[in-house]
Amino acid sequence: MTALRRGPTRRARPRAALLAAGLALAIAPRAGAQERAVILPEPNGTAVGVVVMLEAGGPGSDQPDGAAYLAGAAVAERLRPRLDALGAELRLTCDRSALRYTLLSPPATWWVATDLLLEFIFHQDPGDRAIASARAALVQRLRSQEANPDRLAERALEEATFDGPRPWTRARCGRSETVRALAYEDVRRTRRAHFDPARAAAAVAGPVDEQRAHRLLADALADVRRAVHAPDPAPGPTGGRRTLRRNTVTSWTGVAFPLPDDADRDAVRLLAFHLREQFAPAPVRPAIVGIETRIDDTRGTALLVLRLVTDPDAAQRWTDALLERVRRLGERPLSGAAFAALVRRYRGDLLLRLAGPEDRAHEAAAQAFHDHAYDDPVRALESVTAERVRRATAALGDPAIARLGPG
Amino acid sequence: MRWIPGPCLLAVLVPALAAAQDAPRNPLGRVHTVRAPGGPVIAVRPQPEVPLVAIRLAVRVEEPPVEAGAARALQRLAQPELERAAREYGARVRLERDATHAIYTVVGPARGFEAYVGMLRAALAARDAAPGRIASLRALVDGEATAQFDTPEPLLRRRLHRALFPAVHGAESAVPTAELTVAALARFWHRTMRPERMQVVVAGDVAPDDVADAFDDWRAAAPDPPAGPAREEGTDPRDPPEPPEPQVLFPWVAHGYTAADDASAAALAISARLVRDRLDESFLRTGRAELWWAPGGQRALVLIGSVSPSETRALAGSLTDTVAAPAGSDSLDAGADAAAPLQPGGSDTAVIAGQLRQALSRTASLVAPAQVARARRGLRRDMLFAARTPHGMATVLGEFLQRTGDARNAVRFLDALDGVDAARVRVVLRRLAADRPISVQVSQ
Repeated sequence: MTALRRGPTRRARPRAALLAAGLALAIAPRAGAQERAVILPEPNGTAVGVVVMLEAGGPGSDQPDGAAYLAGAAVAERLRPRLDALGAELRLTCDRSALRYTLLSPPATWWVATDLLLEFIFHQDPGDRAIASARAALVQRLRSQEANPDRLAERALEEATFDGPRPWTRARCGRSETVRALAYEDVRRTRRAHFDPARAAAAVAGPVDEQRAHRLLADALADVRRAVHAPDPAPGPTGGRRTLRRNTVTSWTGVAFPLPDDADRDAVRLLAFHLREQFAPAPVRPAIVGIETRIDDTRGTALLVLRLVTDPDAAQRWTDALLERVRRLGERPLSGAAFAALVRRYRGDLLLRLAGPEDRAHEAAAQAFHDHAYDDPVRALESVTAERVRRATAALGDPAIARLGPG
Repeated sequence: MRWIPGPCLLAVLVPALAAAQDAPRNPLGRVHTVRAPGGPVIAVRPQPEVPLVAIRLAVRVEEPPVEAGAARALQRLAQPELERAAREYGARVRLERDATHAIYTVVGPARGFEAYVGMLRAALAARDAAPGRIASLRALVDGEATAQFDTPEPLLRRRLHRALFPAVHGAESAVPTAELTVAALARFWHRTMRPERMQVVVAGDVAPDDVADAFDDWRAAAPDPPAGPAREEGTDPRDPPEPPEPQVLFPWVAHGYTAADDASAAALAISARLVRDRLDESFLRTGRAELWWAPGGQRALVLIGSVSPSETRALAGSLTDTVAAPAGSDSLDAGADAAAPLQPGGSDTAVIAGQLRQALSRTASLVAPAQVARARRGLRRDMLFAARTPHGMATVLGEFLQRTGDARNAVRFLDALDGVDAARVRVVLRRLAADRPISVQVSQ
């Protein structure tokens, strides 16, 4: 099985630094080493956040759509009474790149709760009752999502990005009808084949003993110095176009810019924040209802995704304005004072998004999962310059664009 | 509670052993207090995990009818500039008004701490409303109050709060009248926005000494004479104007049981959790059990219920249930209303009231150690999870500071939970169940 294509990596690391990181790992594991387990010890915290990300089936796999999500949900269903007895809470989310378990525990019980979670993810059959119960809940949740135009718009953007409905644009997290049709054996087979420690990364943040926490994760994930094992990545994105006509009050426009393999992620994040500010709903922009931005990592392909919700009549105008803004930012850097103010505002936004231990664990687990390394994003921001943002913007690929709306 | 065999017994024992390695004795940690003479009370909880800081400033508010809505009006007056200034630092602002306090909160990168203190000071100083502006402020506050009480439950809570704690006449979100003039607003400001009426909590990546320095010059100064004729507090006998009645589809009933002074907050909180679990199993559409605190330490167990008329009709035939004490347990006090049978065909509010009384008395009649342990675990978890971010920590400590005068009581409360056993909870619940509650309702 081939390793995940690295795709866009955070930054090139000198060989000497890698060697030093390996030695450091041998002595005392800490954040910054190249591995799939990250520990962020925080002695003054009041709760422990643990995030486990699992690559559970790629575009060419034989598992039915949604089988991995259902298997994951059945594990969570089986675990909840035990975790409740420990005062812990568990959430499961699914997106195109991974399943993600987020566990929040009181300090006194985090170790037992995490040990149970890892044991059940990788080694325990959830049982028919848990599968049935999870399936009913998941079908209901998916059905309500499918009715939302936002979900349709997202799917249209995927198809525009990867040139049509192909295996790699399948609904990996399933649709209500595919999940409803899953048999117990489908779920079991998927769990046995894909819930593999070598396909996972994890992080812990909170008042924990660093070495003890690292031992727990390393024992569960096997050789944490190896990158996440994953199937072949999707082919490169194409700058496609999709339009869906739906009788909606507003229009959804999605724009996906491919990132190069060596993308400057910190600069791209700052760019995304700047665009969010520039196109946020405001009295001077009454036609804009909302904007979202994110960096999407899917099987070695990274995208900067921008999603605008507007009045239908203004959708094209604001899409053009967005593309023009990106083009200009790639030509000329922001001025000194404006850039400094932008960084100050973005830093606050970033810190507030990392306010909880589970948020910090998520950030660390995602980096370990996609990049096989962890850098404190707040510290990394200190060295981002206006010129780096300009270069990162200029390096964006041709965008795919999809729109959902009336007429 | 379900019996969960095997691994969970281990799960209870192992954490006790593991606690010594990983967890501090009380995860809420050490809370420092700072108070300069004539200045605000300040509690500081260092939380350096992420370089954020939260400052929560609560001002004790009393609004006689002529100044109804003044606290909110002052907040709305200060809001635009406060938000603009905070945004430049990537910080966020939250302005709230509860039954007794106006609360200003700023959360942002820790390196902006001193700037946030300056912003708050400027926000609290804002009081000059142009005559044209006062009318729009009144309309804004009126709209907020109307929206807040547009559904039955907030109105029900407001009525019960006033009935339980009549001495606390902060009049949460009272509707302003034409008497809220520029002069009335200024008078309210002079009387209210004084450092000695303020309680501050700072949580995050900040040292107690730096906090003390930042607030060092926040001492009370000699007040400027208020504009216009002076009004003495307490001379206006009118009740504050009430928000309009909302449309009520389902009736709501609330019971408030005043707790005895010697009933500990921890025991009351666990009791409320047990009654809540009982209400979850009832046929009420909504059932809540909460511990309410007022400044000065008054506490009450509050039960809230709502039911749809179709549900009461469907269950009318089964509403002859009575409370029976299980064999071997102490029998209930004969004076308890809860022993009376529920009559089929009674009004919806009578049905709700009966269900609330029954939930309390049933819970009181059977308090199992496992239930108490579960409630204790849930309370501890909720508190620790709420306090895991600087904003959450400031809120948890700030609410204890408001209600008890000492933010460190939050730490003591968490410790006290471990000392509450089933016997103690049983005593508390039975005393409450034997009392006649204060009752309010909102119905068609």
